[in-house]
Amino acid sequence: MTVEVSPAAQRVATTLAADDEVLPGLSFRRAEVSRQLDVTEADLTALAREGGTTPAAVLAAAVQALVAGDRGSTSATTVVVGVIVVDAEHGAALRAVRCPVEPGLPLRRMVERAATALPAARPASDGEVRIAVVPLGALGGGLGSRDVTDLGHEIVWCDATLEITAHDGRLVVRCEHDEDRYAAVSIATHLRRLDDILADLVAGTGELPGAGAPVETDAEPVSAGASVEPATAAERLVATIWADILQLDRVGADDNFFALGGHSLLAAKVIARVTAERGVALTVDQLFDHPVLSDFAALVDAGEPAVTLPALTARDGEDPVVSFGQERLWYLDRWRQGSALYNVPVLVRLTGRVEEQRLRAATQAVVDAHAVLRTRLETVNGRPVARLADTVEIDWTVEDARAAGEPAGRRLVRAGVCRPFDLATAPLLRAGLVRVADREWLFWVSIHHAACDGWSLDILLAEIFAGYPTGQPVDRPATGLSYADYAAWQRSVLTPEVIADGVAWWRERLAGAPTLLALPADRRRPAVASHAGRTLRHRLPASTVSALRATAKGRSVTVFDLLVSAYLLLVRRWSGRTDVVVATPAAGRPLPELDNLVGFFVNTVVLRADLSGAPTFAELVARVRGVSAAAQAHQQIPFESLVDALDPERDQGRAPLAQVAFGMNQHARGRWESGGVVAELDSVDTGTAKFDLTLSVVDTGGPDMGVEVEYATDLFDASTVDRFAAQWLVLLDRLLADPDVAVTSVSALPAQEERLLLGWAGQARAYPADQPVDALVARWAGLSPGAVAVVDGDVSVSYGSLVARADALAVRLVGLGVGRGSLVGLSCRRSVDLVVGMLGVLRAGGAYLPLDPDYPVQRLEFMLADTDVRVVVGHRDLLDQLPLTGREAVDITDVAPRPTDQPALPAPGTLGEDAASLIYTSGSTGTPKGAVVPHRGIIRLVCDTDYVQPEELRVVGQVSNASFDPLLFEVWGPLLNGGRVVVVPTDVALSPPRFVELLRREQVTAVAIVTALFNSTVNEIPDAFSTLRQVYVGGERINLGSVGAAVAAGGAQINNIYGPTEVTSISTCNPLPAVPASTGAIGSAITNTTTYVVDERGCLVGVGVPGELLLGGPGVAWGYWNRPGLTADRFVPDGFSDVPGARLYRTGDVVSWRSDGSLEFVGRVDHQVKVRGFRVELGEVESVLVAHPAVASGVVVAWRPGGGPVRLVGYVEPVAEASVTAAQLRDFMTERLPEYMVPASFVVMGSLPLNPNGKIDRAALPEPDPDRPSASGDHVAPRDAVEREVAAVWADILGIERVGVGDNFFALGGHSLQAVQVAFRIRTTFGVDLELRRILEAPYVEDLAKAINEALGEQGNLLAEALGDVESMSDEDVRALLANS
Amino acid sequence: MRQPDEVRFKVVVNHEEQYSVWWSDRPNPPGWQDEGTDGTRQECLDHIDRVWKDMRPRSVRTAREAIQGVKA
Repeated sequence: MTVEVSPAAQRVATTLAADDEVLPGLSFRRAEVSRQLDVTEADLTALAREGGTTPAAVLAAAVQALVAGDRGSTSATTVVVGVIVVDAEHGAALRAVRCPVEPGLPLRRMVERAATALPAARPASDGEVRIAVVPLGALGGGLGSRDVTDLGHEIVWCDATLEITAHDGRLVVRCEHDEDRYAAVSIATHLRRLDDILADLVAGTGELPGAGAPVETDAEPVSAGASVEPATAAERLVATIWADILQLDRVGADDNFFALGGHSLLAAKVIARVTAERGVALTVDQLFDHPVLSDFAALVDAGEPAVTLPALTARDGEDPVVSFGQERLWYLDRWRQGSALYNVPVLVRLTGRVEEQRLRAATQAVVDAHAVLRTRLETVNGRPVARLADTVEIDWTVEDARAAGEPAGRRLVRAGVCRPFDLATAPLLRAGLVRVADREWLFWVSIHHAACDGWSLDILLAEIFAGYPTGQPVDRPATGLSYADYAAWQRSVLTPEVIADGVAWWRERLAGAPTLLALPADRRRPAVASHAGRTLRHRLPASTVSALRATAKGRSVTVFDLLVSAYLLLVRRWSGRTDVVVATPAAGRPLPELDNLVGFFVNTVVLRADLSGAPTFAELVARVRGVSAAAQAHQQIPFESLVDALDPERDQGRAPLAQVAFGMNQHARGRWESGGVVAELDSVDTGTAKFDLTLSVVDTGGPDMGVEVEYATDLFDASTVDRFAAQWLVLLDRLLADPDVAVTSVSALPAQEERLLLGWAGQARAYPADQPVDALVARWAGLSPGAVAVVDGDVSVSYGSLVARADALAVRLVGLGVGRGSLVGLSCRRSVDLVVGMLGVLRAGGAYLPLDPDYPVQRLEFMLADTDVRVVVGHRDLLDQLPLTGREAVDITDVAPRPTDQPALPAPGTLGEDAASLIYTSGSTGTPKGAVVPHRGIIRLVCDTDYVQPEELRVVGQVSNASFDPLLFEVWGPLLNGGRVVVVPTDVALSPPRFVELLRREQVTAVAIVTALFNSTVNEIPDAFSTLRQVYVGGERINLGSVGAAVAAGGAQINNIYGPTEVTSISTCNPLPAVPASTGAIGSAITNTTTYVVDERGCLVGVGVPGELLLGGPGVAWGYWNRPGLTADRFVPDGFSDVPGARLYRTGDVVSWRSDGSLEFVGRVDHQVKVRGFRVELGEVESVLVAHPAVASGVVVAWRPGGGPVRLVGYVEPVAEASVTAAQLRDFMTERLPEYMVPASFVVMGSLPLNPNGKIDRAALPEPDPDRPSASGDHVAPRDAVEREVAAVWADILGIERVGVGDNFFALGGHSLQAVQVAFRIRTTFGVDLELRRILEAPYVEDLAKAINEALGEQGNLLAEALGDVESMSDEDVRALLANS
Repeated sequence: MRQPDEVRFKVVVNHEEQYSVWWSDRPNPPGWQDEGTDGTRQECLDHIDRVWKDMRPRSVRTAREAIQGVKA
């Protein structure tokens, strides 16, 4: 049997979209990602049996579905994947399995096709296969991945190989991929999708996305009700205008403009027409408020006479004038020459017999017809000048990619549209044809934005396809107007006064708006944006589109308003900001006679929305509509003028004023039939991004709409943007489903993502929850009484005698009235006695309160008073220092061991829920608070858990001080598992050689230590811990250098741990087999602990979005001692758990999920500060500071000297024998962080102050010297000839008298066009051609002078000398010199 | 003056007689009952400060009372 291939199925998909464009070919950079599948081996086998085929065919079909789905193909496609098949004849061979698929194809049908195709498949030829599957069992047992790679030389050419193996019935897929093409995160996403596809297959559900589902037609009648004939003259006029603009046959007096498909751009056209024909002043707002024709016509009748705009007239024979928009693009081009950023690309797919010469002639005719396409922009004296050429021949290429296939054809199109334009060379249009099959062609056009906009494309394409049948120019309305006439008209209307008024209006609107809107990114924002971008494409399904149109109609709003509101809401959730500014295009065609002109009319406007509170979606849309209508009314003010006035700093890492954008591209049509050819609008991009993220909806009038998400690859991975888009689609659907509920209760998380997050939350496992800690220790004493329990120097105590001593203490305590539920103070130096005291108190049924001798006496006094303990046990000398009047003091050395022949002490009856310890947290501010930790919390920490195994607890170093929660791990970890505690005295721990000697002598297997101690030890002795099994590091951000040194030394597993006392110490653990990418990689929940990341409404946030970390499970403490209100505030109901009455602890820590299911620590909820309007997370700044190789530890604090503006100060402790200067730190951070995040000053200290627990004590940091702000504020006169010349140029251009070397060009009022003039003057003065961006990067006189000197090099020194000489000469000497030269 | 759109909370209590707060407009998570007070978050917390006298979980408290009862 042959597989039927329909003629249309000639598109071929062979691989997954790459994250990076690379040349196809051999790459030596391979990486791998694995995933355990939800689907089991049994599922797969059953599925294969059911389909009468093999597991290999099922897997092949699943991978084909993955590839087909990833390509998002909307038409029939042939998918090719390779499968390793083993047979007796050929051994293992790679076969190319080709199957036709079409959108909407049920997945089960794909299995049938693969089942047919696989046995018949031939061995793959070179390069035929780019994704290969190594199915379960293909290579038998024992053959590893290396053998797969050796299998055939063809397999190494694959972009990715997916090897599926089974372990204990679970399937694991291991994907080895080309690291140059794919980021590990996208592979992880693909594997997750593969898992979903297999799950759907097992469930018998699922189909390929696309047009296969029956399309729900909105079936909106194009000519609407029209039941009431327009009666008055005004009604008839409005009806005619609406019918024209809405392209309807007739319109009735009772019709609603928006119900007929009107939107804000069209509304603007209506207003323009009405104004032109009736001379009345109306606004777009009025049409929104009176959308019914008869009402609107009444306004037209009553309207005030409009201020008449000057008439637009043809200016024959005059030089073209440059419009504001063209000037802006010229300016941006000066800044960033040779970029495709402002190319407007168009791709049209042609099917049929295409006559190449006729199409070329039709395209040439368009260029001949529109002067703007023949206009070039020259730079004369630092200003743009337009020059018109009468005839220019278009740049036209024809290529044949039939042999290479469609993807290769698309690459040719991409290359064509990406070619940068030289604005000084006309035409600003290029076009070409790429033949991809006998009857399939890709027709592309690329036009510089200075000559067109989206609206123009409709005109151009319509004219090209109208002209194609004859190859002759088409009849056009003979207005005699050109774009240059508009530009002249615009210059006459937009006088400096009008612009100043408009800017003033915008200034008021944007006052106090955030300077930067940062969406959670995968990478740090570079100092200079590369503008590299990618575009992801989705569809708004017909069901959503019909809901959109119905809602717009029912509520008299536009589809645009609904879409942009949902977008703003999602941006609000991702950014955590309620004040959001989004850029959007405005049509910019204020006169009806401009409607048929080609050119750059569109302008950018910004919408600033208030997203605070809990409005319903309908209320939110109303807010947004008000904003967008007002913005429309002021859209004529050129964006560049706004930027110069409102955001002059020109930070090159971000787009000015708004960093996210939204657009709705309405195309009159997306399909033409012309001269026997069917032309369909397709999509292509130039690999650029103007904003961080732009979501555009493309409406060509069909039942569904396109969605394009353009994003900056500087910041985002495809998987992140994919999540954003998926959430937007889900959110939009849910908002439309019920526009009258509070938006805060509408989740944007797709069910799949929510399941994923709940799956990542943590795992429960049985553990001895009902036994008290002391009973578990006593059990070991019964099993092996002679085993060593505690070692302190020469002293060594067995389990038997430890329990005997503890029991003796317990008897004494019981005698003093201690019983179940009593609190007993414990004041011991770290020693065997401390352990005896801890265990003794528990044996008596009580809970111990550590009173650390290292704590200040005041604090100990507070703890005694706060708890009112009646009994305190400890070392005599320490007890003597405590205010124990009225309390019982028990000297622990004074208690004789209980003779072993005594009957066993009666169990006090404590249970898992009982309190075991009261630990005061070292809160940096406010009153200390004591967390009451129950027995079950401790047991869940060290028993039956996943981050540490009993044998790794055989010998545990006790390093932490007695009041710090790691003590729980250090003491109870070994004692509940039969291991031993080895006391490490503080002076030993602080001396790396002695510490290491002790660790090795005692054969310590595990330690849990604070980051600072780990760093200082490893920095001195890199292999300090290599003899251990496990090293747990926590308390602060890890230092990547120290972790790197320890990992390189080998031996022990290094782990980054995280956890608050309130959830009984460790909550998450991240084993570090290699140095992680980030200092905040805290891993995932340990067993019997749950982790949720939520927004301020307690709702789950998606992957990558920062939120507060909530922790749950049996480790959750009772609460804070005697602080009911505070407890209720921090310990909240667990809305995610099935356990009735369960609670979660709100950590106050901000974290985000990484796409691999681990957590990234971002900072503290209360460590967020605002610096000059930017929101700064101190933790983020710290993470960069401590990444400096010479920094051992560091902290960043926000100071507000004298109530003035906030200044960031970085405190660092250099690594041993290293030194670092403030200047080096500043340079390092400036390269990695935006300027506002770089600390204003740095303090380098011999050592940072630590609190008794070994964490950095922020409160004890010295105040920076307020007299020495690092930013220069004083005037420093130019110091050499070059600086003097630069300062003089500035002073001249800016019209000011005195310019200092430390002055900022923009701070002095300079704007971008003036910067171009500076560049021009520098060229004429120094003969140095500095790129404009160099000036913007160095807006200070001294930096600019430096750049000039660098450019001049050797020659510069001579020139500078010469300039110096000239300066010192008298005028006469200079004249003489010039005369002689 | 109370802000009109300030988020409303209610006091809730679980089987261990531990108190906390929850959003007024949302159903309680399993095992949590309304205590009968609602207001701003701070008002609810202030109320809890007044009424939550014994912070021991109910299971611990009753087990202890039972033991004491046997002893007595």
